Amino acid sequence: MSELLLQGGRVIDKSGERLADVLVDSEGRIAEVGEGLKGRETLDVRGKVISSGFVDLNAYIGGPEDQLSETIISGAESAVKGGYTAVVAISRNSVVADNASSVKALMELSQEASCEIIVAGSATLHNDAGTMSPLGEISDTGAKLFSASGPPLTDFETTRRIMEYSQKYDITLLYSCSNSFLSPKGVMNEGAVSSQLGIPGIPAVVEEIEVFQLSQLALLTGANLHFQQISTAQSIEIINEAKSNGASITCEVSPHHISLDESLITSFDARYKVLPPLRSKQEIASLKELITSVDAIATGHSPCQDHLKHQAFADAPFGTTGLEAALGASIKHLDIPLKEILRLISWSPAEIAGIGDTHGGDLVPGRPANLAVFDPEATWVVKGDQMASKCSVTAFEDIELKGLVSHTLVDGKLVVIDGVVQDHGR
Amino acid sequence: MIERHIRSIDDLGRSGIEEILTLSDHFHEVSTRRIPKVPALRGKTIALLFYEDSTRTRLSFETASKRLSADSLNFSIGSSSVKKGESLRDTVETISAMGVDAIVVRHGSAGVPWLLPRWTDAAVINAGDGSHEHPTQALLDCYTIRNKLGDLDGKRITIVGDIRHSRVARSNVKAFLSLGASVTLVAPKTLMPFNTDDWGVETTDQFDSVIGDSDVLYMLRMQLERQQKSFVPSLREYAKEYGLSNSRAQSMKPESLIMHPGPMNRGVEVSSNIKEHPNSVVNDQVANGVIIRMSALYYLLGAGNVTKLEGFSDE
Repeated sequence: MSELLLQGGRVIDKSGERLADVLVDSEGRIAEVGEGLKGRETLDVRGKVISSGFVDLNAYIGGPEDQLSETIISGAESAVKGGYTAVVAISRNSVVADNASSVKALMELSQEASCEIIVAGSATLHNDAGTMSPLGEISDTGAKLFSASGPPLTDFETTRRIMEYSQKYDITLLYSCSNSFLSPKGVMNEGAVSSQLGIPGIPAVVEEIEVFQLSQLALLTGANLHFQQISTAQSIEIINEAKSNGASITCEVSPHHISLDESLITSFDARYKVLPPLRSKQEIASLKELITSVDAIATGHSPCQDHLKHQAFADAPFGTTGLEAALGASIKHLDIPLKEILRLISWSPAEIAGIGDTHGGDLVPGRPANLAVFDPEATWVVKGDQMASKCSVTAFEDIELKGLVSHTLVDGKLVVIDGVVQDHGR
Repeated sequence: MIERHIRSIDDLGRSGIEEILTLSDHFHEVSTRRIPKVPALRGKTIALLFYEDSTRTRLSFETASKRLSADSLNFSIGSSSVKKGESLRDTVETISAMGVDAIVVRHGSAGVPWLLPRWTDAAVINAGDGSHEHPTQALLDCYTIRNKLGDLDGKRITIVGDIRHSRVARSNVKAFLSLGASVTLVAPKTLMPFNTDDWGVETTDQFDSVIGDSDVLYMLRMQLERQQKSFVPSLREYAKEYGLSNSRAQSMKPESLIMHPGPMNRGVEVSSNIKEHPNSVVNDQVANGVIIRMSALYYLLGAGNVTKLEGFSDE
């Protein structure tokens, strides 16, 4: 690897914004940040922002299932195209991360990925049974994030024990709050639109009740919790209340929950079927007002084989891709400074994922060059078939976004050049 | 060519509904002939794609196709083929490749008729999509009311029962309102849609309070399994609170109508002999089913001009 000079960019990190060159050394580290630097290979990034690479806390990518399904490898290509340099991979296919050897296998596979993959363990056996997995053995592999959704909401005892037992290993438990106890057949937000369309609804209180219950258990036990895919303002208020009472809680919102509303479902297109469901315009406005108390934007990237989405709305699986649209949706739909967007998409999730040493920090000499270069003013229209993800069905299809990644550096290596993912991974 | 479908009453609007009702007067005359068949759609192929069991609706579309001299293809697809991995798209593309002019589709999930035009050039008729819409049922109900009471304008129509899960109710509300009627929905809150603010209807859980003012009492079928999921505590209590008993029927206006989309649960939403009540037009609804479906098919595939109906002579 030779020296690389990113010339004339707007460098934005926690310490502020400045026009500067960034020199990356042959070890893949930031050598210098300043004006008038010289390097062997030069990349003109005038007008573009140089920031720490993005960190996604929530991508459903796992082991190889078959030729059509997204894997950690293809998911990572989608990630780097979106400016991500690290992704938390939650496996929910045949390779369940509920034992140390599966987690090791996923970590092994991740070595070939074009960005850093943080493999999340599963806190319960088989992802769904109300039985605790061997948290200690799994955490010995280095996993510190554990997906803990799965036990039915009524199984409070197992949930409590997991929260208590996890603390010895300094684990953060990831919860998605979309249990179906109030709406077993629900597939979209309950409200005027679901009533009109005759589609079974999921009331917002499903999420809010679960957020409240888990927050209270977090206070009771002292466990570290991270709430995934929070989609209502009331949920955030409940979390804020618990935080102010001392709970060790963080939360994320997804790019689609701040940008796409339930009225899209009048097309009956299953690309808009996500969990939690797309909410009302009003709810989105309220959610966005509380965005400064949110800890991260995370995609919930849930690719599936395309044909599965070519079904009736009720029959198709939940989920959308999001890694390539996250920055553009955030800049377009959040009326907050760029610095705040970078906090949500890079700096803060890096801390939550426990990789603040290598990702999401200030651009200073000596740190690994995990960087994103993007044009914050570029508007573009999403086309699923042009995405790096193996899944070409996305809720963002034909949606105009603002903010486009042109280059991504992982450990100093250019893995995306002018928006094109480079071959051969790292 | 303008894309024409009957997926929802919204696809028709007032003028489309009225066009179909006018067509139905002509086809009603056809149905009284010795040989009730015309060559209006000769050479056209109509696929009946039924993902849900249906005897009445499928037979009525099939009969309508035959009376218009169209060829009909029957595809009854159980849920098993979905499980075998064939997507809706694959199925529709396969049928479309056989060369069909219209697809009549029934599916257990809302919205399927809206997905079909992505994968086929055929005209689409919705024969029921989940709890969403059933527009040809609404058309035949409008036709039945118009024939009995004249114009729907200003009429008070009360729909009673499981509105929440009813595609018949959703299509009928739109159709009745389009034609100028006012609509009241009667149901316990468990069976009322969560939010009807934008529907333009009155809602109540007090059946007795609206019977005397109604020109039409439209009783919906009560799915027997609703009891198990606690939508109602018991069918007995439902029948007591929301069923059309003989004593309730006595407080109706003398000229008002009793309607039901069938099949009836006698003793639940209606008392056992209500079909035979002098105000009941349930049998007319069934008879009008074929006529309305002839009109719907002709509206989409025929010459399209109501005043110059072609091919209407006896064969």
